[in-house]
Amino acid sequence: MINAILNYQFMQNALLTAIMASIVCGIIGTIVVEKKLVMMSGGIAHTAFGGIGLGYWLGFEPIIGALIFATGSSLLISSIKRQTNTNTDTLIGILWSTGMALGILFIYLSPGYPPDMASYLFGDILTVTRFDLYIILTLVLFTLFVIVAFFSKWLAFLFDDEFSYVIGINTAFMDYFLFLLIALSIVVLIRVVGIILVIALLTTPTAIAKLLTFDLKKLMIISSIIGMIISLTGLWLSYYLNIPSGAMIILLLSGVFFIFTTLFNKAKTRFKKKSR
Amino acid sequence: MNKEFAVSLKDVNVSFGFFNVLSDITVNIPASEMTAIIGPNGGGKTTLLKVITGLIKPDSGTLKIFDKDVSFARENGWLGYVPQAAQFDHLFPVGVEEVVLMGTLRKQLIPFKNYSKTEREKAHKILKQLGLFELRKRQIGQLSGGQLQKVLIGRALINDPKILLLDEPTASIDTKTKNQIFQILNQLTPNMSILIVTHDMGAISSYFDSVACLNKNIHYHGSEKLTQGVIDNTFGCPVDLIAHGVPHRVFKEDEGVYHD
Repeated sequence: MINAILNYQFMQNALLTAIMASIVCGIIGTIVVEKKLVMMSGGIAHTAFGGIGLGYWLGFEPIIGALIFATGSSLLISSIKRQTNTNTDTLIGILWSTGMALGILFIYLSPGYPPDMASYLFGDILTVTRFDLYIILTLVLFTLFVIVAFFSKWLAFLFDDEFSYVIGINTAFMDYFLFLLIALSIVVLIRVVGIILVIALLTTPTAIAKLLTFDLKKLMIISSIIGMIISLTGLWLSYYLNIPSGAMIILLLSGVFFIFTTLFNKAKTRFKKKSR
Repeated sequence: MNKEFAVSLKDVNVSFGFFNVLSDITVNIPASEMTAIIGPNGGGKTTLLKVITGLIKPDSGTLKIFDKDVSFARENGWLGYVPQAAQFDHLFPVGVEEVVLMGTLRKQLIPFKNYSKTEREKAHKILKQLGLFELRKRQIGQLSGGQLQKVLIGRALINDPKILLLDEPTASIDTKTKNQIFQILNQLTPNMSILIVTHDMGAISSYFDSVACLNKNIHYHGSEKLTQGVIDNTFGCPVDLIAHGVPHRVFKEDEGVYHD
């Protein structure tokens, strides 16, 4: 594999994308898990499919379309949530299927032979282009800067937005911004594991890290590292076994999660028995 | 005698859909005093606190905090808010000391700003006063309900607010911790204006300067002695009253003048 990395640009792109994606997963995934926004993230990812279809139809980069649709839907959810009493859960359900339906419609309208949608639905990290990589790099650096630079404010906002509002922090802006960040990171992840598997990549590294720490900052760092180790291992395995990389990474993640939880439960019961 | 008012509400109406929660609330809450808000469930007590903090915008009416707008008061750190501890996600991964430090945050966006040494020292001082210094590294989920309540009070106090608003700080807390909380409020905040929503009728006589009774409409009594009639009016049904020995003062609502 080292040879492949040195010789082939697509392997270098894949490797860098996996590392970038893990950082995003660690940071945004932790927020998504702690604020229970998992379903919403799934909804945004599927709405992005509409944008991918639009890109194919009108002939621009599909990832740009995904970016527009993902940010649009996240801002829509956030603003409707503020204005009406419509259950966010219901709203996500509506957007989820509408986005998919639009995607199918646009692809049907596209002239010529239908494009290969599997790489967007299930992800194919090996087809990441230099252009994709530059977009991903920009998004990751942006997310990283915004979260790290204002970490104490984010922590206060995530813990108790009402109190943050009362002491003068602009929580409406932070709310919109958070949804925007989630949308941006979902677009990054679509290239790695695809629309359908995004949720696993956002949640599992944090779920594993939660077994190890009770601190939001450490959760973000540990889940980033776990994500990196597992996605690089998955990439390596998929290269040798010739298995789709997205599926391999997800299976490894959930496998590690189940092994860790059983081990921790066993350790706990043993500790309890000893202390008796 | 002209007295300074911490909070002035005039003809404030709040409704959720077709349901009127607060109607024509006109009340002046005196500064540097401890005022209790009592009333039945669904009487709009929490809503009133949220109106005063700016979290709920009233449909009509005016609200002044020390003669200024709420947004001005918020942005200058005049308000300390202690929400109900029971509503919190106890599993949120954050430590005690960090929660208290959150109170020092301001509107300004300064990148990579960390808490200063003075802010940390102040947090330690407050934690010591609250008897939580040893627990400062704990995750909030590892605290008892009373301890978490005290952490939230500490978070509001570190700001040195002009007004402290507490929403049922003693709900589902044992008597000892309850008294401790009231004593802390009494000792730490000699000149602060404090407004507490409470069901704790027993504490009213011993700790509070005045009482406001709220059930959609307000029945404000200044420091007037609570009578069984007033309580019945507020709750709509007889309630046991254990208040006694409160100095007798009269407060005229319509003129907004406070006199002894």
